[in-house]
Amino acid sequence: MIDGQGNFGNIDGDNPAAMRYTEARLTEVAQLLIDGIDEDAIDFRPTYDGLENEPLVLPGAFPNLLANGSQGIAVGMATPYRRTMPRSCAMRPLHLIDNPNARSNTLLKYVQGPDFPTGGLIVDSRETIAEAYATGRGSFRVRARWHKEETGRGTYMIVVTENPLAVQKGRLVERLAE
Amino acid sequence: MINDKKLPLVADMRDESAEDIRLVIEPRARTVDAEILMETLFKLTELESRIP
Repeated sequence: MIDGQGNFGNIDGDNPAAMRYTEARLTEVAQLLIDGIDEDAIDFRPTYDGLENEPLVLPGAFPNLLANGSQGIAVGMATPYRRTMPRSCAMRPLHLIDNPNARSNTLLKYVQGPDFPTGGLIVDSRETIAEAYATGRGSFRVRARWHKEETGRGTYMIVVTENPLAVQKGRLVERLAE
Repeated sequence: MINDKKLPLVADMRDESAEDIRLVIEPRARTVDAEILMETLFKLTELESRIP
């Protein structure tokens, strides 16, 4: 959504730079969400304090909730929405428009699972993933992606190229090496 | 964990990441099976984690 320039933090868990050191602009996808907003396409109402106006409904031209996910935290419960590949999250609404009563099983044809920005491999079975999508409850077991590199004379080393989401690489190495 | 000898199959680990992620894990001996080594790592470390 945002095309940034400067230090926006990294996978080791370092914090982004202060805002005076960074610049940002909207990407094309972000602009799709508010496409036509200045052409009187939707109705507005005053905000809670009446100082500004907000759209009654904002029909975005991009399925942002599916693509970017979201997270809600309440007292005693929390609900993360996971990200989905942009191509497959466009297919799902299209199928739902044609078949409003579609079942979650048929929808799984378009979305086979979440898409984690740091990569990694889901090791749960297809049934477990389907169950999580059907009930709205569950979690995914994600493993780092790795491969073996031969170093000659029968010796080898293991190289990890993707680690699970929310695992800070710097901390992981620190904990392993200590 | 390597120094605490909780990972007997691993000799060394270092971070060679540049643009891409690259964590190098060296086995203690060439006879150590890579699959078994990774299974123990997945079990004991955050290389496998549960994401809600």
